[in-house]
Amino acid sequence: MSFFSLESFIAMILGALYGVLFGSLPGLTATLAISLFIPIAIFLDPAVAFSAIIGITATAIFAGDIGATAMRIPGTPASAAYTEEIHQIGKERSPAFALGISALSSALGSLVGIAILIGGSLGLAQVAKQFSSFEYFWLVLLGIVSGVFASPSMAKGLIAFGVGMLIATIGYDPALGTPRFNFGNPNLLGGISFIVALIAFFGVAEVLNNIYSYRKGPPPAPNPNQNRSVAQEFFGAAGRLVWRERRLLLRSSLLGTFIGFLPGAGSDLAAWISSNFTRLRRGSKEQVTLSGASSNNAAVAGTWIPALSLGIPGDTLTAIVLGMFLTMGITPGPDLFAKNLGFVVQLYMAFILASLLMMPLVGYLGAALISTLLRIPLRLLLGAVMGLCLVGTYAINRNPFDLYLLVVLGLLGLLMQRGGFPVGQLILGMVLGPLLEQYLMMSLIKTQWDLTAFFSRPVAVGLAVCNLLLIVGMLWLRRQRARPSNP
Amino acid sequence: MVNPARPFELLVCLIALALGLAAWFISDTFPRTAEGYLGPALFPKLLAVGLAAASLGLIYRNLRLPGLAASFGLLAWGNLLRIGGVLLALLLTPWALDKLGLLGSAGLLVLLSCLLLGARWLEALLTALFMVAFVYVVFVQLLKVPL
Repeated sequence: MSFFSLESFIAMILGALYGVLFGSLPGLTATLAISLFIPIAIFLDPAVAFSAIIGITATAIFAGDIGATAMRIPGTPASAAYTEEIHQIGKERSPAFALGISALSSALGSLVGIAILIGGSLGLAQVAKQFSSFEYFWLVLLGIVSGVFASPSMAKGLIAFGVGMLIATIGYDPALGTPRFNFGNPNLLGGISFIVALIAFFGVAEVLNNIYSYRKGPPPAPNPNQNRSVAQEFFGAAGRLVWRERRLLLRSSLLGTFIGFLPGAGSDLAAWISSNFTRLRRGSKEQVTLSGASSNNAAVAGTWIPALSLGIPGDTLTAIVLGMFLTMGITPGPDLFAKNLGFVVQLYMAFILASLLMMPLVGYLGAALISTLLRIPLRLLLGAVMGLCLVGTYAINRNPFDLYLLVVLGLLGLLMQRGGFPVGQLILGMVLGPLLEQYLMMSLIKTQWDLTAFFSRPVAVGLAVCNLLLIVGMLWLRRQRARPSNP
Repeated sequence: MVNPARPFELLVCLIALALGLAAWFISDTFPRTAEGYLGPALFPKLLAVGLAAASLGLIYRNLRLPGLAASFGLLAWGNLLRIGGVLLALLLTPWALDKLGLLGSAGLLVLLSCLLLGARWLEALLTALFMVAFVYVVFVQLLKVPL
């Protein structure tokens, strides 16, 4: 079996295009793309099947940015971390520039992640094994604290986080399995679908917001930047920006890889933490997008570190792929490198090829498509988005109840948007809330509610100190900024 | 300080406060752990305290600043009615699903949304038809997503 055959290359291209469709359409996720591909993959030669899977995973996460840029609907939860920024860049400058930043930093972030995957799989996997529920608790709390301080108003950030985390408590509790806040309705037992919430808070709320701002009269003057050449914006202007911000890109990619290789953390958390750190430093929209896009794609490579070296999946995507490994008679773990070194090397090379070729190529196609789409009048485009929100929501569970949730959450999203509340932090609350509760309860139950145990391990103490320093530092910084400047 | 965002800010704070209070009281009914600790109620109660404190702080600040009544005067009531129309159409979709199927319901929703956004009849109709064809080709035929 070889990854360097024409069949494997074609499979990678087709996989990348398939991944882009799933990643960019609301309601369809990278996990669903892989799941639907598995029944086909098991009948293919392993090299061809894995080439296609690498093509899908390499582009599906990045493609989430296409929906975020065009319609303010992130295609994947990982893109939600910087949807506001990338959508604004697309509106104010051009979608080609926005997607250029995203695609080029995704490709480079992915390459950094792969370099670490190649260089330090076994060593880093040992570090991941040091993480218990205490360390995860502090790490997730760090994500929340950075998110609250990244909001322009701390009180509004707290409310957005609180509402998001409270929404996520609906359904079975993650530690003991007690049903909560379902009011006897079986549709709420499994909780509110994260994808439904994404579509409601970003897609429906955006359409409603445009209806609220609707005024009769001549259409607004077209943005002069929209007429610039797609290639010039995508490769030229965005390429120069990415080169200028190479240090930020490297930092975000390293952070993304680190978070990615922690089991259960995944690319969503990586994107949120990385982009929030950039917001905390008052980074520009371009810098926030660049750090989020590079870290979530670096995290994709990061999730493969424990998967290959320990056989522990970093997220649901790698869990499915590990199942594929076993089906094909390949056992992941330390022995993989001894018994199947040739296969592992080819796998790495396929990853590099996918990052270098697929992301820029697919990103460029996406940018060209969006530039055409945006010539459609807004009144028609938003109407079509509403239809896509309906189809995307219904496609997940085929449950009409989700449509009622779409109305309620979409209205809440509109009110929050108009009131200046950060909707992105609400989504982050939905991601991090269940994790925080799970690690809190696990730690409390196993130590019989001994709170001092949270400070009993060196890495946990280090992360707790990071949280404290972040809170003190940010409060001090806000106080300094609030003071009137000296005459 | 007259600001069109203030009525919305106040409304979101009231919703957050109501959610916090509801979470606090409803979580009283959750079972405790064998050792008598709060268990599944602990996290919602922590959130309830945070939500109540932050929303009360913002409500107090909002009410103390002058110009709240004038800020309510800036609300675009006509457009709020349009929003009500779109949400009503979306609320009726589960009923329409039985009669028209997903594609028909999606087409109808696109048509209504375009009209409420100020589109002309013909362009709204063409957009709805294009959307139905797009969903059929991409979701059903190409991606084999069961709808």
